[in-house]
Amino acid sequence: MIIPLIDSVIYTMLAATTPVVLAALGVMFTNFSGMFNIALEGMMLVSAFFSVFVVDITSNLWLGMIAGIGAATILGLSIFFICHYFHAEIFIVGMGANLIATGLTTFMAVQLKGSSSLIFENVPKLRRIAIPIIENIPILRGLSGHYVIDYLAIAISVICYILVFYTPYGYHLRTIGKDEWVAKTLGISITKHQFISYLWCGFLCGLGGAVLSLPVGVFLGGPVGMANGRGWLAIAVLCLGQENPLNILAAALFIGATSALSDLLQVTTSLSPRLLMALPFAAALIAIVFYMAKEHKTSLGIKI
Amino acid sequence: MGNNVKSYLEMREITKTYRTYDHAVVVALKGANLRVRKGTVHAVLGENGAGKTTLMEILAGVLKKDSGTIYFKGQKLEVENASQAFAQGIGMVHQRLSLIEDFTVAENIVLGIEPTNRLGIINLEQIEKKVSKFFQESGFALEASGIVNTLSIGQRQKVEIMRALYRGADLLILDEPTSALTEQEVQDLFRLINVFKKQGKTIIFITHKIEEVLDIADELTVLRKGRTIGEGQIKDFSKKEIIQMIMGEPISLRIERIPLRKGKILLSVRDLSVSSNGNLERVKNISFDLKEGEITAIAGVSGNGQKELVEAIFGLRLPATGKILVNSKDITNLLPRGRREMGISYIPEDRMNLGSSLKSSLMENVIVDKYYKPPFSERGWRQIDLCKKYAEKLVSNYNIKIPDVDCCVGTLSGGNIQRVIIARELTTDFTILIAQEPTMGLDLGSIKYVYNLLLEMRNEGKTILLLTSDMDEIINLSDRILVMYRGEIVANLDNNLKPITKEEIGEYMLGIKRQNHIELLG
Ligand SMILES: Nc1ncnc2c1ncn2[C@@H]1O[C@H](COP(=O)(O)OP(=O)(O)OP(=O)(O)O)[C@@H](O)[C@H]1O
Ligand SMILES: [Mg+2]
Repeated sequence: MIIPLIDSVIYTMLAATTPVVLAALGVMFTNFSGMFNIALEGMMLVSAFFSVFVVDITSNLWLGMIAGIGAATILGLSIFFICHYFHAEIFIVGMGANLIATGLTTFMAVQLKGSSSLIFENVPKLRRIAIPIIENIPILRGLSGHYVIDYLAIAISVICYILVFYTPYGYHLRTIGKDEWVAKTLGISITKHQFISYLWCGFLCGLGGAVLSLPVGVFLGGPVGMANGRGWLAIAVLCLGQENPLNILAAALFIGATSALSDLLQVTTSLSPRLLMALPFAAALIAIVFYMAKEHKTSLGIKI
Repeated sequence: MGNNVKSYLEMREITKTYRTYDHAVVVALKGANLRVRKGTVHAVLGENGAGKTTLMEILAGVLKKDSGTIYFKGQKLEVENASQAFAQGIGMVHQRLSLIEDFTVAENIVLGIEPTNRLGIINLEQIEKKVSKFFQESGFALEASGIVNTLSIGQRQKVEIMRALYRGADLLILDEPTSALTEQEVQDLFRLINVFKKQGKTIIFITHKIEEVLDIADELTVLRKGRTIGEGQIKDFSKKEIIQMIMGEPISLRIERIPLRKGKILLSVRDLSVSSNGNLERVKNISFDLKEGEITAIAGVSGNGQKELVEAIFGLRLPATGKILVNSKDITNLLPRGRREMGISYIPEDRMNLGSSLKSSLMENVIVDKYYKPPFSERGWRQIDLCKKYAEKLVSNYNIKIPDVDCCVGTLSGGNIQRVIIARELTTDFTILIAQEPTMGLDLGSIKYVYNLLLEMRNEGKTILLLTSDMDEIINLSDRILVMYRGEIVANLDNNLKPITKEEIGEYMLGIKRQNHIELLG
């Protein structure tokens, strides 16, 4: 009885981690380049919409994924260009992008199908991929049977780690985030790296959005929307993981675990489901407070 | 005409105007000229704000000139950014340090030219080894794996210099590389410069220390207010003439210091131990007192715990053990603001990060330690007009070159930023001043001004703790000299009894000699 429960908790945890870690890695790149992008929610939303929409038209999941990534990237690059050429304040533009994403996807959904939430009956859906052997081992079983993007997310975290800490690109990127003056004196192009970081952010949020809609063939528009706060959780995850992609993955897993816990409590207890849905957000807040307190102490040279 | 240029480097009629966001206009260069011959050390001199850094940053590709032409190696030089200038063989050590604080020394040294393997991966260990070897060969004692934020400003300057040398350049620009270096370190640098020269390379050297110019440079160019007002061979000038040319008047740093009667104790440090972030014990069980009307200097080779000691006294770092008392009140657990209210004032060595907020206006920078107190705030309201008047007063008293007090401090020349910090810290009701490298980057005129101010304050009965790499400054100003070596005080010398010599201090600094317990009590 208890083992299948653990299986399912692990399974949900991993599934809940994917969009958050992808978006968090995306915002990590923009943070490094000194142009912190807060429009993750919006970028995931447009991707969720366009990926499932293109799958509906073409019946091709890969094209859908590409469309989602493309849409998120276009939104990201618009933010970049507006800020770069018109010296707009990045947070305001990011807020605007979030609002536009909600408005645009809801509007298009209503125009196309007459409802802000779409259920596509006959589209192909992402298939679960079982890992041989592991799928039969209790407890570890929860690691198997995920979608391709879930596995990809883990691989991307590791790749990002190598990229950030062991390649010249990573060094240059971090240099810009820490001190633009240093980058300037060493001839590291700030604009170029900011542009590339927005490409990264578009790609990663695009994947993160696609993994929301493609497995189920559903798009939820409206004020809450399909991203449902995951873009904001990703920013919290970045605060916890700082500049290390593996720490970001760990922090996202923590958030994923609280989501799984929240799901579990919703079915096993009579606590208010609405309240339980706030659990990951509350957990993120508390974790950040503790993290900051610790940081403060180390900066004063206190041993912990 | 371009090809009949004889000089190795020739900058002609360079102009540069800065425009800040609030539309203030600063003309930094009004047609400056510079001619440098190959294989020489060329000193570029001038008072604070003369335009030296601006001219050099244009050459190094960091800034764009408005007009004028540059010929380098017989060709017209047009560079867009620092890496293009570097590709042409121009390297620069910037006055404003350009190191990443959380990277290691080795990482900073190779930043921008990181060697990789075939897969594009960096092998840090290998880099550290290579950099260590390079340090050893050049005779500079630096730890390749150390994190930069644990280093003092002097050590950071060394890292910057080593970076420029490591990368190699035909023309090396050194913009005030020695402002926080000790004499010994300067000599080490000069040795390297001479090696460089022998290889047929060319050095442009900026400094405010005339002895260094006489020591190392072959030729000089003097700038004033954005124009070249003099050039020539060093051997044709005397020290006095050079000073006259730079400042427009003769200046001597000699000052009168009359011993005072010892007053009461203002600050005591008792059995203080402080650890660095890496948990190494950097200050070991130190005790001393600062008395009214006394300037106490702490001498020592950088990296012997001075940084951690000062941070602990001002509350930037909690000590592991021990106490700090002001007027017999324990302040060990107070935050920096609390300590300021107890009468401590602090001129940090790191003027860009700790000393000022580069993105804030001058006005904000000079009231940041007192904006919440009357008369700067009354009943919870800030008195903007009064703050502005106050800032304007400081600008004129300290002769800070700034278009208006709303301009941000980041746009000032290095020496002028230092003046802002000094103006703020000395214009308060303090009784205890911790002054770290107070004259770093200042021109002779301002150094003289600061010396006189410090003495005046001491004569009023304040106490000053002076930490500086400039041995002459220590000997001229201080009543008492404490020498730190490996985290301990190894000598307590009274400079009023009989004048202490540099050599004497040097022996203690290098750990060759050490006083016994009774001598240490003073
Ligand atoms: N980014 C900037 N924006 C506006 N004005 C600037 C900027 N940088 C320098 N200036 C101004 O240009 C003038 C020349 O500055 P520069 O830094 O070249 O002087 P400097 O000769 O190097 O002085 P110092 O000896 O103090 O280092 C100064 O008046 C300074 O205020
Ligand atoms: Mg300068």
